[in-house]
Formats: sequence, structure tokens, C-alpha cells
Amino acid sequence: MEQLGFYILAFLAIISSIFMITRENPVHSALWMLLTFFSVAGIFVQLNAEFIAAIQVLVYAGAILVLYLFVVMLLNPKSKGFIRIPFRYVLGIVASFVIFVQVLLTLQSANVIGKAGVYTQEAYKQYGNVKLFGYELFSNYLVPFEVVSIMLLVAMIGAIVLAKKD
Amino acid sequence: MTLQHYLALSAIIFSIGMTGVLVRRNLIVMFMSVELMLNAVNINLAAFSKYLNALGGQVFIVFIMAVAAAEAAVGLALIIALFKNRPTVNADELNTMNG
Amino acid sequence: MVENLVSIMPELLMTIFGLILIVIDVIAGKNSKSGVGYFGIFFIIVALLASIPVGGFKIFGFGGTLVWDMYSFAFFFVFAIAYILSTLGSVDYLRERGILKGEFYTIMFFSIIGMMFMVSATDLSVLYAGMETMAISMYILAGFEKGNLKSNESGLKYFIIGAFSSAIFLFGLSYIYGYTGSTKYVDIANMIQANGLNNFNIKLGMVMMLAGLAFKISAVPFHMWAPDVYTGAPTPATGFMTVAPKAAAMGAIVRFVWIALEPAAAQWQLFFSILAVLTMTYGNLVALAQNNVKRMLAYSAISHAGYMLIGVVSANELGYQSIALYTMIYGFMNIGAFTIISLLKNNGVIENERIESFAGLGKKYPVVSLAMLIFMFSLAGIPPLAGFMGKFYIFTAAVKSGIIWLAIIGVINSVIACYYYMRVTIFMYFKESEYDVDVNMKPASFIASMIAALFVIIIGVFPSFFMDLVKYMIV
Repeated sequence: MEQLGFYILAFLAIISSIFMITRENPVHSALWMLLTFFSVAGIFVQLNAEFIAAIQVLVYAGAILVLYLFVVMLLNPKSKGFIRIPFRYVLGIVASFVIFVQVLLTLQSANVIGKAGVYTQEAYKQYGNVKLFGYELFSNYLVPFEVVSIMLLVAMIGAIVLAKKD
Repeated sequence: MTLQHYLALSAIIFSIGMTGVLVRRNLIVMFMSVELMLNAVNINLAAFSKYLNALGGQVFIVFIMAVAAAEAAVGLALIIALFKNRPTVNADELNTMNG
Repeated sequence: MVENLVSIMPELLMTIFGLILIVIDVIAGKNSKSGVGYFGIFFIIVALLASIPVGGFKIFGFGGTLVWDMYSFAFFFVFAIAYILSTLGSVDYLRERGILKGEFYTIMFFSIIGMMFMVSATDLSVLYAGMETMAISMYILAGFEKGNLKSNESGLKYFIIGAFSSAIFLFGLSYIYGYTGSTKYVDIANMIQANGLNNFNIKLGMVMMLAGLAFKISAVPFHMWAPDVYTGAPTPATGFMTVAPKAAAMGAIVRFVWIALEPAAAQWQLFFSILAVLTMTYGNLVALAQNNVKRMLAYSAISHAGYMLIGVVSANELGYQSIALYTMIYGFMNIGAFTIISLLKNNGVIENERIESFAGLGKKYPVVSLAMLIFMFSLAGIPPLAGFMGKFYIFTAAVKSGIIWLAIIGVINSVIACYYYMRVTIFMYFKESEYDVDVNMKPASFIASMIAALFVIIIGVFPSFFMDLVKYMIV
């Protein structure tokens, strides 16, 4: 059952991401990206990361994607901007393929060597993912959490400055 | 399911995203492809997190998502600013500074 | 508890001041937005004075995710220099173009907080969060002149390449996390020490992470964004962007490879020495052909990153001390040069920053030309100016750890670089002016360029004081 779920989700994620980068119309790309986000959210559920899955749907699908769609429809760009120069096409695919093969080579020996943590399946069952997640976030990762809040403030100021009319 | 399954999936999505950034010339689609690459990283981190019995990877995903949201806001604001001066979203037309 | 507060105190102070700056920006009238920048200078000096560590002071906080020591302080000093000089130099430039907004200074101020976190991070999550704070601020600064197509392009190019490079960085990071099971530098080092480097995971992770960081310092072959971004951005922002983010990324790289990848020293030394040679040579050779001084300085910024990388490769204490000293010196001379470029106003048909604008400037504006001469000589590394001392310490560090060939390539490169820096001075003093060029000198930018020129001379003549400042640095 778990295997079947994984293969369906993985297939959906891969197919929709291929469609995403090959559609000429940015609106179609955005909608295919939505499907990718949902499949990845499903994979997060498989990986005992329910909270992340919820955030994935809320933030990526709910906020970021809507922002993209909003801008695409606001600008309604005329220029399609699809591949015209074969050289770049070949170069891009070759570069990605090299990276892909590199990663596959890595996978042969991929395993986790680090010492096992305390957050086992049983711990999740007992306390739930969200509670443990909150504990980890506000104990070991407090500083980056605060830094990210500064970053969001900067991004907010910047987006307003850049996009507003004077 | 083994760790390798998840890592392979993430590698495929990462490569697709990278191809998108390198091949597409539409700025908005290029940004979307970057989001795809970040999603691949997230799968990686979640998978490692599970097999390490640790939560560090999952916490990291939240930071990546926050950064992705902030980058989307700033990047799309930059596109709007560009579009006001020159109605194009084609990266090949960004060539006022040759040399 | 106390050590947590002490270790984060400088950043905390800066955040509070940054929030106050936003309030000041709201209160300030439409014509007095430069006050925001001046308040920022005041705040940053207060924060700098309040956070001086003594001698070998080193304090870890938050379970070893953050550290405040002499090393962090020296880089904070560099950022403060960059902020003060760019703010003073920017007021007139921004006012003339009608984009004098308080946000320019607030964003610059907040970017410094991100940089401080980058340098004082001992955990990958803090490094990443700080890096993105810095990067996002830089995209905004590059695209700040939104009515200008060049500035738009500059911001967008920086944004695409920046986001792309941080995705690559993160992919590498995820493998390192998976292999070692931790994001703390110390734990990563211990795991690599215990398990060796035979696993592909760690190799792939290392290469991708270092490549992502190399994008941030515009090392060749990860430099393709730099010339366009530096040329298109508003000139004071370019001055800031060539100095502060580069210094921050250098500081972060040194701390990261020195602690976390210490067992893999041979590998990253090889990686960075290749990058250093490529970066120096490429930057200098392309700069030779430029006729736009701003673009020439953009390529020179690439080649200076190469000199700094020599300090990373030498991997001894003198190496990173000289990186801190070099970024400090580079801050003074480069921002000074960009301030003067931003003041030129060519009434002819060509762009303000073309080299022809400098023709005959020596007779018309002797003081400004003298300052430009000092900056150019210093960038070229001619003794007794500061640039020479910076290069001298870097090359000494390389010789000390036995990589003489790299030092020799560096010296050859700085000889090549003399040509294009000298060309500007030759135009200033020995060519007749073809165009009617004004130097739009106002008090603020005059002070900025004079301070910079003065410090370039002082550091060149008395380097020992500034070397003492970085002497107690321990990564």
C-alpha cells in the first residue's frame, strides 16, 4: 500500500513538473506546478512530516502560487519566451543530466551515518508530529527562526518599495 | 520504501527544475523552476530526517519555505517594476548592458 | 542564559536600531529622508562601540549555533565601514535621481544584520537564514532605481542567479545534513573525521555547497551575473554590494571550511585554489578591455575576490586575518572610487561613467582627481598605499603555508591590473577633455571620499594598528 502510494505520488510529481517546464503559457505552468506541490505534500505525509505537508499546501499552493498566478494575469505577457536557440536547449539539458548522473552515483552509497535521533515512529505516535516539531523549532532552531523573521520584514519593505507607484 | 527511493525522486525533480531554469527564457517560469528545485531539496531533507529519526531536516524545510515566499514576493515585485518600463518577461531581452 | 544574550547582543542591538530606523523613516518629512541614513550611521557606531570584544574573547550561545568573537567583530567593522561610506556617498546621487527614500538605508541596515549572522554562525541553518536576508536585501538595492531599465535588469539578473545558486547550495546542504545528521559545524567535522571522505554523499554535498557559496563571492566560473549587476545597480549601491556581501561571504566561507570541513582541508584547498587562479586572471583580463569605468571596476571586483580566495587557500591564521584586513581596505578604496564615479555628470552624449569623462579632470577638479588617483593606485596595489599592504599580507600568508606558485600568480595579476587602473589616471592628468564634465560635489559625498582617501593613506603608512585589530582573531 505504501509502495503503491509512493509510486503514484512520485509519478504525478515527475510528470507534472515536466509539463510545468514545457508549457508555453505561464498560467498552465503555474497550474501544473500546483499539482507538483500537492504530490510533494503527499510524499511529506509518507515521511512522517504531517505538519510540513500542511504548510506545503498552505504556503506553497495557497500563497506563493496565488502570487505567481496574480502576477501572470496582471501582466498578461505577450512574449512567450520559449526556447528558440537550440544551443541553449542542448546546453541546459546536458548540464542538468550531468548533475542527475552525479546524484545517481551518489545514491549507490547513500545511507545515513549520523547518530540516530530520538524522534522515532513511537515518539510520533505518542506525542504527535506537531508537538515534537514545535519543541525542536523553539529549542534548537530558535536563532534561525528569528533571523527568518527579519528576512520577511526586509522582503515586505522591499516588495512594497519596488511595486508601488510613486 | 528505502531512503534511495526518495533521494532518486528528489534528484529527478531537481534536474527537471534545473533544466527549466537553464532552458526557459520566460522569467516567471524560470522562477517557478527554482521553486521546483527547492521542493526537491525539501523532499531530500524530509527523507533524511525520517531515516535519521531527527527533526532538524523538517525544521529546515520551514525556513526554506519562508525564504521561498520572501523571494517570490521580491522577485515578482522586480518583474512588475521591469514590466512598467518595458513590457516583456523574456530573459533574452534583458540586454541593455552588453560588453 | 547570560551567554545566550551576550552572544546575540550585537545583532539584537542592530535589530532594535533597525526597527527604530523604520519609525524614523515614517516620521521624517519628504525632503529629509537622508536623515534616516545619518541616524543609521549613528546607530551603527553605537552598536559597534557596544560590542567590542576584548582580546581572545569568544562566547558561544544557543547550544552552539552562534558565536561572538574578535572574528565576527572584525567583519562587523568592515560592514560598518561599508554602510557609513555608502550612506554618505549616496545622499546626493539618490536625491539627484529622485529616489532618495528612507527604505534604501533601512534595507541596507537590515542586510548588515543578515551578514553579521552569516559570519557569526556556527550552524548551517543560521548561515542560510543570514545569507538569504543579505541576498534579498541586495536584490532590492540593485533594483532600487525602478524607473531605470538598467537597474531593473540588474535586480532581476541578480535575483535569478541568486535564487538558482541558493537552490544549489541547499541541495548540497541537504546531502551534508543527511550524511552527518546535524547542521552544527562541530558535529559535521566530527562525523567527517570519524567516517572519512569515501562516501559520495559528502563529496557531492561539499562541492555543491561550495559552488553555491562561490556564486555569492562572484568567483569564476560562477561570476556571470556580476558585471551586469554591478553596472546596472545605482552606483552607491554597487559600492556597497561589491564590498559588504563579498566580505560576509568570505567570512562565512572561512568559518565554515575551517571548522566544519577541517578534515577535508586538502579537497577544499584544491577547489579554492583553482577558483582563485581563474577568478584573478579572468577578472583582470576582461577589465583591460573595458571603456566604462563602472564596468571596469565591476570586473576588478571579481579579480579582487580572487586575491581574497588566496587567503582562504593558505588556510593558516595569517590567511584569514589578512582576508579581514583586505576586505576592510577594499571597502575604503572601492566605495571611495564608486562615490567619485557617482558624482560625475557628463553633459555630452556619452554615458557618465565612460572613461572619456575622466579626461582633463585633473586640472578642473584637483582635489577630486587626487582622491581618485589615490583610490586607483591603492586598488592597483602600489606602495605605500593600503591596497599594497592588503595584498602583501595575503601573499605572505600564501608563502607561509608553502603555496608559492599561487602567490606568484597573484603578483603577476596585480601587475597586469596596474594597466587599467593607471589608464584612468592617465586620462585624468594627461588627456585634454573632449566633453563638458561636471563633478557634482556636495558636502556629504565630499566627506565620504575624503574619509576613504585618508584611511587608504593611513592604513598604508601605519598598517600595524589595523593588523593588531585582527590579530586576536581565532576562527
